[in-house]
Amino acid sequence: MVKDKISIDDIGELINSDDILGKDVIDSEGKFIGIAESILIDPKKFDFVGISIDKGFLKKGLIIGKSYIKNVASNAVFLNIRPSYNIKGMKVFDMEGFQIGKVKEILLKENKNAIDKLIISSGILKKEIELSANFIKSIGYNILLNIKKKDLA
Amino acid sequence: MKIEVISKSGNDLTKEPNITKLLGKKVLTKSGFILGNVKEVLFDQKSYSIDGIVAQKYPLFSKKIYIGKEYFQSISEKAVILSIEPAILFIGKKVVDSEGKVLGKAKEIIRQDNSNSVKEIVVKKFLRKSIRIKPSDVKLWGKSIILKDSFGK
Repeated sequence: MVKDKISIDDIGELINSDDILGKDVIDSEGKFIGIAESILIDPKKFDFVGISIDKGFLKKGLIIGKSYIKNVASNAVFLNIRPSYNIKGMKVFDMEGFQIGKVKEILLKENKNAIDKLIISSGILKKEIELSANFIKSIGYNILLNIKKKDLA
Repeated sequence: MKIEVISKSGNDLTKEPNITKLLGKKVLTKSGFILGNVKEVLFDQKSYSIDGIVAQKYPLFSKKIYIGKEYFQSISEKAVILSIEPAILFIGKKVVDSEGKVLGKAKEIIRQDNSNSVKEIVVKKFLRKSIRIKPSDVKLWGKSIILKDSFGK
């Protein structure tokens, strides 16, 4: 049934909360990161600002700003980023393939998705190494650096 | 102890990577996935150059994978880093259309002979007939396989 509209704006093609909530959220690497749990709205401007994602039982939730949403499809919400928080626990290898350690913490630039620094836990004694994002060559299943371990200090 | 060198090559052979030290070292894919450890190093019988390596994840239970040297990105005494993501690693990944609908999982990856070029992906979903997808329909080979908008149209 066609609904009546009361608005001073031209209401074009819209989606509603049902089109987002409960859908899988897939990042730019094709990883299923969770389920869209709620829609966040700016209380003053009434603008849609983002979504919160339920990553599963006992896992910390995640909020994604609307600028990182690529599109809302009929079965999933696609993001245009790979959330940097997801690299926690990844192994870090130097340019020769030597395993330096694992990502313990990620420091982002403000609240954006760009990585500023990584804190890497290394060795049996879990020594912490602070690593600038400039040394990251690629992030995939694990992290490859563009530098040798001996040059890190 | 000083090593005497007998060679016509002008290279400083004492600084070349030692192949025996490579055995047992990690084999990383382009994205940093640990494919396994170097089990064997294979040589060409005529040119004596390295032809490839055999990688194996677990000594007894896992399949051995032969990787030709054309897919090496770098080789050192620490690891072999590949320039590719071996297509066989996509077996078992979810295959998702552009609307986010999961079509099933990649049951088989059919390649051009033994190369890493994919000819077809065989996708299977429980109690459904398998479907075959051409690599030209794939938008992203990542944590899942995401298809282009044009797929099925």
